[in-house]
Amino acid sequence: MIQLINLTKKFGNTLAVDNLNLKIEKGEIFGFLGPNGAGKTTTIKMMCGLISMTEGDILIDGIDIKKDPVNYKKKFAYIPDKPFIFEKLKGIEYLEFIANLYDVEKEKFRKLLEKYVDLFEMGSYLNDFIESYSHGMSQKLLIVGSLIHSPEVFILDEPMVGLDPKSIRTLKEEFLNLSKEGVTVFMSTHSIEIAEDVCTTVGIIDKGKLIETGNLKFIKEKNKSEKLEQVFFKLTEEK
Amino acid sequence: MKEIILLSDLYFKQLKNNLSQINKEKVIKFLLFLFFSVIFFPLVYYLFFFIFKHFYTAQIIGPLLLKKLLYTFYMTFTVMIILSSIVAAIPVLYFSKEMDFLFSCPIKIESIFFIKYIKVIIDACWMIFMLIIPIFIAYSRVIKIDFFQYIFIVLSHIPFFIICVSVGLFLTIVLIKYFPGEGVRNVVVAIYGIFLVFFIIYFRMLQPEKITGASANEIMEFVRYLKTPDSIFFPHSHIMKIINNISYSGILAGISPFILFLSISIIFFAIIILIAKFWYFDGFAKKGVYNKRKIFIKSYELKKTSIFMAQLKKDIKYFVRDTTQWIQIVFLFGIIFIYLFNIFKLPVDLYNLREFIYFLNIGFIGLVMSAVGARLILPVISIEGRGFWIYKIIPDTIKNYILYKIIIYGSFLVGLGIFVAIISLGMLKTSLFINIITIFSTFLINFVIVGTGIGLGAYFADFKIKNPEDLITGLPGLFYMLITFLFVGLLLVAEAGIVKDYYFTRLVKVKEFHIINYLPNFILISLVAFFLFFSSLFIGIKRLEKLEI
Repeated sequence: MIQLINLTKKFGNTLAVDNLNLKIEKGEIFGFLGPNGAGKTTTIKMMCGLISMTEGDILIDGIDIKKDPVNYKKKFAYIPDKPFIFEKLKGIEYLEFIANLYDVEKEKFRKLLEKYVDLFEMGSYLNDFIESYSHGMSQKLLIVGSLIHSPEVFILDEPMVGLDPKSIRTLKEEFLNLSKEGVTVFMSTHSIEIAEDVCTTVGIIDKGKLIETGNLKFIKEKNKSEKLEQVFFKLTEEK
Repeated sequence: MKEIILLSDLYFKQLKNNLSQINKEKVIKFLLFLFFSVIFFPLVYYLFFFIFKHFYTAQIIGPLLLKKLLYTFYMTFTVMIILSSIVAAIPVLYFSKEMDFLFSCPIKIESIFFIKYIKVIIDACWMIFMLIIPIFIAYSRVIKIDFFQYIFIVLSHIPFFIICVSVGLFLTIVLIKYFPGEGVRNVVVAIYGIFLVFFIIYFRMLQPEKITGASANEIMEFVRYLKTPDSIFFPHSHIMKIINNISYSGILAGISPFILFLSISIIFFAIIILIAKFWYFDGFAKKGVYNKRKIFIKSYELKKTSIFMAQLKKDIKYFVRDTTQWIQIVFLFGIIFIYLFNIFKLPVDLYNLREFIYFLNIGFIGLVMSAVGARLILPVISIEGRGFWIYKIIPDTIKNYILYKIIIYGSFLVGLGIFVAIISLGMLKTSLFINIITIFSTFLINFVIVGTGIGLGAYFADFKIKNPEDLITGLPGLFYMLITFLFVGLLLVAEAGIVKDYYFTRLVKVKEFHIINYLPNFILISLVAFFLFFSSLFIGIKRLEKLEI
């Protein structure tokens, strides 16, 4: 579903992402782990078209971001780590704006709005201006905004940061349900616990290079560790 | 006192570090500031020298007229400083990043407030102080006062500033105690802009040009209009007393009212510090609290629209909710009103030349619309702020995004420009030829303004700046103004020969006037307009496409 081929990004002389190759299948929840400055956000931003790549290709469902960016962008939803949204809009107006940008049907919007507003307990906030939202509320609004247009792929950069424990649990459950329906999730996280709970496969990146990838069981066995945390420290500290 | 010295030292060190870190951007900003100062000071000086002389040399009651004029100015300054101190005080007193830290330290509230007071007084008054320097140089030359009198007059503004800012801060503390901070600031910014525009319109409608050669009755009528409230309770009355005494009776006559005024300002200062001691923290603790409203969201029906309409709706909502944007509209209508008023009041003895004057006014329309475009069009991309990433990930192109902006803002500006041109043409009853030339020129000028404004706005887009209007005063604004002004100049040059031939043909009737002969001029200027429009948009689109967020 997602293919990163020889993906490279340089900022001046600094190599932020070095020849990254990844293939993520449909319905997988892929956890992208790595220490600070490893290249996780840079990779995600390249996948969303927010920054250009120096070399390589990115494909979603066989569509190349460089060749057909509009159809490529129809396939995914992105949740950034910093929830900057149009502050002068109300929550509900933002959701309506997103629904119209992605051409969501009225009936589908009504059903999904009802579902996710209840799930994330947002009903009493949606008529307020976004500028009055806390970090967590803005993050929840972004999450509902991404779920409302039912993308085939979710690209998430630290989506749990700022969320309350209940919302974290709801989000984890929702992604597990969606993956059963064939939705693919690419998620960067600092939390190894979240990766172990939710992800079917993980990739560990350090200094721009992918140092390990595979399903959880395979990685643990390969590195002779019972916990992903041990694998993570072993691999990142060895380097 | 020790706390104040400590805090002053902290801010002074920050300022010193900031100044010592010289980079390219700072150097450019400084040079731009220097450049505009070099233009600004002589411009203000000559403008006020002309106004003061015009009033002062009026028959018999020249000095009285000048006093009345200064009263009007100072009344305006009083309101301006009070309003701008509220606008400046809200972020400084309540939303500065260091406020939580300062309030958590063992520092007295009045010490924190004192330091912030100094910052507000500088922020709110520096522009008026910069205006006062050239204004009073002009005043000194007209009234013929010496250097020491001038210095005394300038220094006597200190208590004036202290009193006005203290009133502004009192209002701020009271308002923030009961209302959300950002909301108060937005409303005050809107009131401030509207007040300024109404003052300019009011002054224009007084028709000061009537003084020249006016009868005594007409002058008295003018003086009546300049009537301003005068009382010992108003700071402008005190400063005017000092200025009048120094100007007409010498420095010694100004000392006593100055001491009185200074004492009043110290009392005001002491009172506001006392008020802050009890109320400032209350307001700080409650700032920006909004009442949450419950809605029955389940019944919400999606209003389905196209991407274009979704953006239009979003832009309109942003426009309505951002009071800094309302000011653009108020300024816009103020400028247009004054322009139409000038046309309406065209002196009768110039009536035969009305078409020629109107041709020159095409240039004036161009300059006015350029200024309007700078405020309204140039910042439209940056206004998206940090939420711009959404446009980069949605399934649509940046080209379409820019196209929507052109349709939304371009149709408004071009429509407005042509509407203004039609109204003024109707007032002047010009010939069909001039009507066509004017409509054509107005369309081309606005076409270039829209293309250059949106194109350069995209090229220089800065989604991190707090106030996108900073673009206007920075490099983007300079480039935009330069291009649009040059185009207006070029258009006038291209059409001047045509209009001149048209008049001579009508006046002397020696040869036939065929507009077809001038087709190359029209084609050339249209090509230039198309080039500026598309090249600006091209570089803007390319920059946004490559922009890394």
